[in-house]
Order: sequence, then structure tokens, then C-alpha cells
Amino acid sequence: MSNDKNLVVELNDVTLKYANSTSFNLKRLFLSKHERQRVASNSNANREAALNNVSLKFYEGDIVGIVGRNGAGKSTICKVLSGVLEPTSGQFYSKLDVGSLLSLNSFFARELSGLDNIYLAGALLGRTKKEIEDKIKDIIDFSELDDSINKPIETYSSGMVSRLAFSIATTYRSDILIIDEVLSVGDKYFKEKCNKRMREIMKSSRLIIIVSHTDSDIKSMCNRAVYLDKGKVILDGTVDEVMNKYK
Amino acid sequence: MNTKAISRNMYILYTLAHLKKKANIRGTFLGYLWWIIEPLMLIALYSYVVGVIFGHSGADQLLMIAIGVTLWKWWSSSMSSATKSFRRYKGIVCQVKMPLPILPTSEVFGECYTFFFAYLILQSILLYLGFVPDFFALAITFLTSLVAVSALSLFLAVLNVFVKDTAFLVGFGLRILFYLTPIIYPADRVPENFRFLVDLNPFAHLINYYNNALIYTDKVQYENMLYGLVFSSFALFILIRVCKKLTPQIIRNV
Repeated sequence: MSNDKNLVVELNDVTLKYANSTSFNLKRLFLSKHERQRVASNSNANREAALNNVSLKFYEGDIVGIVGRNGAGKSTICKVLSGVLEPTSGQFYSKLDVGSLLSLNSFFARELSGLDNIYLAGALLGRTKKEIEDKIKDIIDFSELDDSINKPIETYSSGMVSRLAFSIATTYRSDILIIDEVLSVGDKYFKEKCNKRMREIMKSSRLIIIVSHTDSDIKSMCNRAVYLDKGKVILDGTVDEVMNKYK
Repeated sequence: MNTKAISRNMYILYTLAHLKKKANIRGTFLGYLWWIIEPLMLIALYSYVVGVIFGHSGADQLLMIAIGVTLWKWWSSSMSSATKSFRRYKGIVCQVKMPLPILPTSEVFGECYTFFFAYLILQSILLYLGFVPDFFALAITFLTSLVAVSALSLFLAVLNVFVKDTAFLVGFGLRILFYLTPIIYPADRVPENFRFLVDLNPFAHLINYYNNALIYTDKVQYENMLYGLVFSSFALFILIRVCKKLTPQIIRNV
């Protein structure tokens, strides 16, 4: 994290408030005030700020692991970094092509086949048809889906989905790669293959963000880690420091 | 917005529309033939009901039914699938930075494929019977309906994020609208007291434009049609702005 590195993305005092859930519901009218509050707090609708005054600097070549409990704001920070959500206050500054970056839990259209989703993901990442077609074979080979690639995603097992997601994300290289809990699925053999691929792309990517609950993923891949809790940065430092504190 | 972003968004729109249509017929025995069979069956059904049961025969009447039913198929399928589009593409809505109006609009364009096949058949029949269309009027009408239906689809899609009942309402709302729109009966059969139902119904105007452009070319009124185009473009523009403004809430609520 030395300052001689090239600063590529910066979050400056970013706060992201979710507007209260505004879905209308007849049932709610008939609930007592107490019940209404209970329902609202259960459904997490009243959680005010998903991110609270977060300031982070990302440098070229960083591989950052983001850890934290469920609801700590990890996925929200990814959405801000990818430009999907704009901060309610504070500045978000990025030198990277933010349009072409995504976290890849489940952006697949489930009724489309794996192959169609490769096209769709390519289009969403701003690739042209030719660029997509050049990569198709690589993606299918790496994901080991073979003939299943022509079946709709809804028939896939979760392992198959994450294999395809990982292949797509790492084959269509972009300046910045956000991996939100994709590494945790897949068998041991595929995991090793993923790690190998990760080491390859670490050299060419400018910034990689990994969100994971698996300590070993963060420890083996990242050179920096951030510990989030309740939308605040608790610690930003080396992997060892953060992992010790997170325990 | 720069040209690169525009070409990316257009390619997303094309990919979504194209793949969606492909997915619908995957695994079916008849495949692409369904794009022709479906409208033909609807036309046959309504022609039987109106021509045989109600006894309103006459080539004009049947042709107008064929045009209306084909168009209605396009509009109603677009709107009912667009209503649920944000929910269906939740992953994209929540994770990809792109203009959200692309999603419901892609449904309208996707249904356009099917419509186009049915239209080609219809047009051949019309030409065979000696009706030469006013192509300029047809082009404006097509553009107007594309814009108007996209605007309505976007409205319904946004509404459905906040009021989940919209999807149910759209189902029978479209059925009611089908009967309120002069499709299986001519507009002049509507009694004077109920004429406002036709006058206020944008679909009635669109159907009328199409009938004029395809059959009654001497009744084409360009001025009237341009008003329609301007009005629907304005509505679409406003809705895109509203959708942009509501994007964080949509991502949160979808």
C-alpha cells in the first residue's frame, strides 16, 4: 500500500443510504404499529446506511480481500465499485473502465442456455460479437461444461453455474475483476484450476477484489485485506493483520 | 453518452431480444414455425367467432381482424413479459451498470421478431388481394407503436417493482383492453355514449393508423400520425428520466 503505487480507485467518505423499502402491501395496513416495526426490522427494510463513511484507496496491482459478517456491506461496496449504485454522499473516483466490471453471483438469465449467457455476459461487458466468439471455446473448455452448455442455466447445479461464471469472468479480462463468493463452490479439482487461473490473471489485471468467507482463499490470493462491519471499515491492512482481527 | 456506450447498449438490447426469442422455442418440435403458427391460429379463431358465429362476413372485416389480432399479440406479449422483466433479470439489474430501460424494451423488440413474420404473411395476402400499402405511413405507424409500447412496458416494469400486484392486473387489464379496442369489431359500431372509450384508447388509434396504412390508404392523415409519434416519444423520454431517477430504489426493491 505504499504511495508510490498508482492510485486507480478511490472511495472518499462514501455513505450509501438505502431508501426505505417502498413496496406497497395491503397486509401492512392491518398490522398494529408494533407488528409493523417488527416486520420492518425483520425484513431489514429499515437498515439505514449500508455503507457509512467508507474511505478506501485502491492501487494498481492490488488484490484486495474483503471480509466481514453477513450484511456487513461487502456486496454493497462491490456495487459501488462497479458503478451500479451511486453513493448517497461522498466521492467515488475511478480511473478504470467501470462500465465493464461485475460481480458474478447470478447475473445469468436463467431461461437462457449457457452458451447464450456467454453472449449476453460479453455484451454486458461491452464486448463485440467477434470478441465474444473468439473467446467462446476458451470459456467452454475451462468450465468443463461440454454439451451442457446448450442447456438452460436453470437446469445447472450450483457448481456448474459458478464454474461457468468464473470462466466467463476470468476469460473476458477487464481492468478490474470483482469476485463475490464464486470461489467457494466447485470441487477440489476445479478449485485448484481456479487458483491457477487466478495466479495467471493477477499478473494482467489492474485491480482484483475478492469477497469470500473462506479464509484460505483470502490468504492464498490477496496482498491486502479490508474488514467491514455494519457498513464501516474496521481494519484495512495486510492479510494477516485483518484475518487475526476478523477471527 | 458517448458512441461507445451507445453501441454497447444497442448490442445488449439486440442480444437480449434475440436470445429471448430463441429460448422460447428451444426444445419444441416445430421450432421457428411457431412464429407463424401462433398468429395464424389466433386469426383463424377470431375470424370464426366474428365471421361465422356473429355473421359479419366481408373480406375487409376479416383483414382488419387479422391485422388487429397480429398487432395485439405483439403488444400484449411484450407488455406482459416486460412487466416482470426487472424481476426476471434481477442479477443484471443488481450487478451490471447499464441503463435499466433496456430490459423492458428488449421484450418489446423480442416480440417484434414474431410480429415481423406474421406481418410478412399478412402483407403478401394483402398484396395478392390488390391492397398496396402506404409505406411511408406504415413506417411512421410502426415507429410510433414501437415507441408507445416501449413506453408503456417501461411504465409497467417500474410500477411492478414497487407495487407487485401490477403483474396480476396487467393480465386481465390486457384482456379488457383487447375487447375495448376495435379489433374484432369496426370502430363505428361503438355507440356514441361509449365513443370516449375508443378516443382515449391509444391502441385504438394505433390500430386505426395500421388499418389506414395497410388497407384504406386514402384515409391516411399524416398530421394525426405525427402527433401520435411526438406524444409517445415524449412519454418515453419522460419515463426514461423517471426510471433513471428511481434506479437506486429499483435495485433495492427488485
